[in-house]
Amino acid sequence: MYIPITVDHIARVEGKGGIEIVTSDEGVKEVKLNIIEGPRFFEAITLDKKLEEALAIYPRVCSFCSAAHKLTAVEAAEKAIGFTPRPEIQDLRDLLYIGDMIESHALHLYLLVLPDYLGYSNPLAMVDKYRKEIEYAMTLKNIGSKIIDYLGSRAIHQENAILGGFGKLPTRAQFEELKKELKEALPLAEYTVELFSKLEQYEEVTDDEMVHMAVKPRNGVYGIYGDYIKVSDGFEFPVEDYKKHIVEKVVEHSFAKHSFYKGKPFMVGAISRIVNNADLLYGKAKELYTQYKDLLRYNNCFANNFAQAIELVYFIERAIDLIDDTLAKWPIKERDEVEIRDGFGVSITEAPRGLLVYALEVKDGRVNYADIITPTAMNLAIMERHVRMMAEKHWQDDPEKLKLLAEMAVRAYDPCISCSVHVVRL
Amino acid sequence: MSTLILALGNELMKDDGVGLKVGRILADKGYNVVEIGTDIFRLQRYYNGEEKIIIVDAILTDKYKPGEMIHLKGEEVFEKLKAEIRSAHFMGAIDGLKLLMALDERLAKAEIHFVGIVAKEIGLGTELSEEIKSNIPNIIKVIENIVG
Repeated sequence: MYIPITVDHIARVEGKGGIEIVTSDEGVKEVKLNIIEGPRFFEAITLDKKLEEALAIYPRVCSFCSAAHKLTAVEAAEKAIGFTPRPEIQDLRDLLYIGDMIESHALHLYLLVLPDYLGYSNPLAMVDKYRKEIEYAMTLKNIGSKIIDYLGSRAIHQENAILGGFGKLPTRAQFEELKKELKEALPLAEYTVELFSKLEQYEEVTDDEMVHMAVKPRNGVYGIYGDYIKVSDGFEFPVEDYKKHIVEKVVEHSFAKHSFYKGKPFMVGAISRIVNNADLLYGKAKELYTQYKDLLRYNNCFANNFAQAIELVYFIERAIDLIDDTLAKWPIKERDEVEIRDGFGVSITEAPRGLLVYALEVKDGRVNYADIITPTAMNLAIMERHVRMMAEKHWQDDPEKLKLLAEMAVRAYDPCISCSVHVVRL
Repeated sequence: MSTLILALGNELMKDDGVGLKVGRILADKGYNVVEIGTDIFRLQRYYNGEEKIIIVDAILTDKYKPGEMIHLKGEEVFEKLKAEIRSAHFMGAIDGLKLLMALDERLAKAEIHFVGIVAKEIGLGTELSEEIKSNIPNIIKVIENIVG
């Protein structure tokens, strides 16, 4: 007899997706991650648009990671037209991007992951007993959001990061305000590390074949931008060669393509950054990494949660350093003139959930070709493999327990299945 | 009574962008508007103790025609929408609002309104359907009346 176990809608992930696990008397027959949200076609909508117009559209792919989409698209466009930003502008782009990182990690860890471990169905149910944790989540999220607001000029869908630099820069006083609040938030991030160090990483999904991909950070500082991709098997490739090494395939049960490296699934995200670049961490984050190294396991997707906690500390410290560097060079010219020429550019950055690819071709001032690959699309294949591993261990248990564990494995990847639709149904 | 208008939606998804577009018109008229997009938690950063919150968003329903509006107030918002109001993100906007209300006594006491505009089509595109476009002046009037 075949028994389907279905999670129609995975709660507490971003977007709509489902899990289908089919078991029989002999064991697990089939596991599918069903992506039921429609595909986005953002590449198509920007074709033939003026480059600046297209750059205003890309951040709208996702209101949560709008800075990531905007900045990756801007870098791809600048590479296409042959422009390199000044170092101080690049620092401020890093800072804006870090706003996304802090906001996203705080929400994921406290509001999406923590309820599972504390036995609650949602964060609202936790609020009476774990008010402090919810308040910490919001404080951390808000400082990330404030960075985005000050540098992006809008809370969502930033317009301020433009070709050549920024439309305008925050004032010196605003930078100082951010620095003060980041310093106040640092102990909260350290508490997050302590809290998440106690949470179980499920042995059932131990996968020694796991391969991780991350950006090889430019200038030797753990971070977001780079010109090469590092793979945990020791291979490196320039971002321009991404299509040779990140191979997308259509799968029947999903609107989203699955991605493969050397014919196998791979992972991107916080744990992939740590696996590939931990030697570049510094400060308190480095100390915490050394202290908790055993929890940052390359072969367990649940380690992604703890890696995000370490990164919360790192990115707060990094943001403070970037502000110090900025203020030391103050005043800073907000942008340089750019000349829009024909060309092709690829940018791959580290979004909160992992590698984000933008490839743009510019012709006669317009977008002639666009290709976007999101981190969640890259993770789908390995996510499915780990749900299968969980199912193979628990297929004879209570189906509700299996459903929860399968969902937890998916949530560990912090997937953003689709950020493009939100509707109310009555 | 001080009022904050929250504009929800995604303007790249045709009628899903109506909340944002209505919000911008109201902002131009001087009302206190925050574009939330699909992240209700942004409310916390912009909330300054306003006594009235008006959420403007697109809805999908067969019960009304495209362009028509529903207006819910107080407990009705939570009762009628419950989990039905969905953002593209991890929590419904209403669940998110409840969480923020649990954290902020002032927000818990605020008068909550929901203005839902019936969408004709949610799909890739930046244009609103004619039915919605032609009703925008009326939608604005209704919201201005709620502001009082």
